[in-house]
Amino acid sequence: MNNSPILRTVVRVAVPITIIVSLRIFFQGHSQPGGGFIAGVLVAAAGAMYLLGFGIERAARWAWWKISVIGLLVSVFTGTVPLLLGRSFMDHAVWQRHLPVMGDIHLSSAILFDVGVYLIVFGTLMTIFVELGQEGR
Amino acid sequence: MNLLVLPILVPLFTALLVALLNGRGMLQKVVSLGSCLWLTGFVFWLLLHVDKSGIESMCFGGWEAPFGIVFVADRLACIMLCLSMLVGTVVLVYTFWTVTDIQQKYFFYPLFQIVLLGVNWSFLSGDLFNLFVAYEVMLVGSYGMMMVGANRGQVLQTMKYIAINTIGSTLFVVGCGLLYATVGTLNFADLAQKTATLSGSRAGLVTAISMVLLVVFAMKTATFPLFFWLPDSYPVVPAGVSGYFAGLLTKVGVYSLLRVFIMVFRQDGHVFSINVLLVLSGFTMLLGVLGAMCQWDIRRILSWHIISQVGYMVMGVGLAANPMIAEVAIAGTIFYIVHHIIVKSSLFLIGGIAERVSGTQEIRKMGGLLDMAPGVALLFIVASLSLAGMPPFSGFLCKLVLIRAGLTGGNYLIVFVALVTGFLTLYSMTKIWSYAFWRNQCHKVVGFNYRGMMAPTAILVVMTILMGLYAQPFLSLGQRAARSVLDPQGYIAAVLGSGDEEPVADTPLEVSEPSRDPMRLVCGQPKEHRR
Repeated sequence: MNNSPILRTVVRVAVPITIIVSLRIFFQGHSQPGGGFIAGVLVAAAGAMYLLGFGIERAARWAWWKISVIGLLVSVFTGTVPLLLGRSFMDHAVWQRHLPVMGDIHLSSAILFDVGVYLIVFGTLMTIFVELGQEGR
Repeated sequence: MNLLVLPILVPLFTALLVALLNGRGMLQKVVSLGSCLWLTGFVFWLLLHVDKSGIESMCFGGWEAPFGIVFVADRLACIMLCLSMLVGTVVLVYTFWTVTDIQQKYFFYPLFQIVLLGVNWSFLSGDLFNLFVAYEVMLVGSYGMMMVGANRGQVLQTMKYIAINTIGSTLFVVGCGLLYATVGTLNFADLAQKTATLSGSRAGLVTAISMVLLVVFAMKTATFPLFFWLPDSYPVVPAGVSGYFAGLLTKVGVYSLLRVFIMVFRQDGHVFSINVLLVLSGFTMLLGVLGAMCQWDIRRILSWHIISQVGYMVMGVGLAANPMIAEVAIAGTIFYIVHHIIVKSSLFLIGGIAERVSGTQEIRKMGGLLDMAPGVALLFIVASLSLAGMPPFSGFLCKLVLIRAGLTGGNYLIVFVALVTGFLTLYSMTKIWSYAFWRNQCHKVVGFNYRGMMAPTAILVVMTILMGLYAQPFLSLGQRAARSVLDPQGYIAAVLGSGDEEPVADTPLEVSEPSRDPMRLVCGQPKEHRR
């Protein structure tokens, strides 16, 4: 299946679209359905498509689990910053501005936490795909 | 106090850091040890602080108590934290000599920190659901720990362990849901307040729900009839870490029993569930020790002894049904937990050394250890006599307190069972001694340098001697902890705040004159209590 040109062509188009959709879902997650977990799963789906189309050898050389560890570090660190500022653990701040082109921006520090979740889910799923994919070889 | 989050935050950061350092063994050891030592210092400071100035609590993200997640540190929680970190540090140092390359490659050190994280978390949790989450974290860590560098036997036993714990966790969530539907809260302080006012059919309902939780905690503590998983699964844990598992993981269950069944459930007829515990404890003690007697594998013998020893602690919880002896029984239980964690961990560590020196787990194939490793023999005889309850070690005193409480309350049958169990424990320990240590050497010597593993083990053994000879501070601390568990007003005030008062208004512990002498626990009750 690795050498199918049809699959490769589809993957080339589908992977960027999936990544963009996942980012859209990630950012709407603060107040609508979506967020780090679902977006992370979507990117991992893009990753799975890539593995199917282009083979597993190149991806298998990476230590994908490190992405999860870094993601968890980001999440925990986001929770710790308020502690260093003398507020309670996992407290968060909101930042609201009106920018010229982009309109009203509503940024919460919780988004960094979600970035962490995104990375954890992506890293974990990719580790599973790569490890299980190598098993049969 | 925001610092309460540190006992979970430090192991979490350490786990992540150590995971990123995977492949650099030396650096991993230094970082893990540094963080463990630092945190041990912190929790001992916390114990002194809480003992002096009352219960501390913190809310996550600024959400107030009955609604948000709270961490509460009362004396009992702090005692458990200190033990967890003390044994954790000792075991970590011990594993420096036992860990293999393959175990290091598959994240041995990060997993160890995750287990520490889960255990510390369950002691600090201020609500039932959070306790469930802490259990899960602890379990995930322990699954990984059992599988690390997996061979066939490990995978087989871990599958059983995962299966039984998944059932337990499901029941735990079911219990949480039922309780929330009935009482409308899961926060311990709020529950203690609300269940105290319940009566009639709703109280009966809460008692019925508490039975679901009883099954969960019985599974966790390995109480009769749910103990069968323990002797199979603990022997496959890597040497050294099995000391931490043996000491702490079942005691998390005993802690939960104390917290939930003594402090939280105060509805009409809650005595029923405590009486159930008393009956179960008798079977647990006896069957545990009988199981140990017919085993020949040193790890399995010690694992069966965990079960019988847990029986004593559950017996202490069960004796609290009688309000006259409740305080002594709970104080005895807490003292017993402290003693047991230290002694059982040290026995597992000694067992690990004996295995290394003689190259087998089977005590019938061991022999001559007294000649080959006299220091280990000394440590073993002290720890095993302490476990069996011989004076002057800590095991004697904590059994004495519990048996004394049982006699005062008129529970003669359970006292009889406890004494028989103590005697059979002594027999079983004598069996290990005479086969593994005292016999002539019956096989070739496996050259192994065990001196490095001796030092951390010796720390624990010295602790049990110290606790036996210098018991007063430990007993009186246990008594103060028992008092704040039995009367949760201070806990409720610290978590929820009491009206317009300052939330830190823990009842000031002016120890009344007759109870200033903790040996009262041992030497008997004042007359007016007995009546």
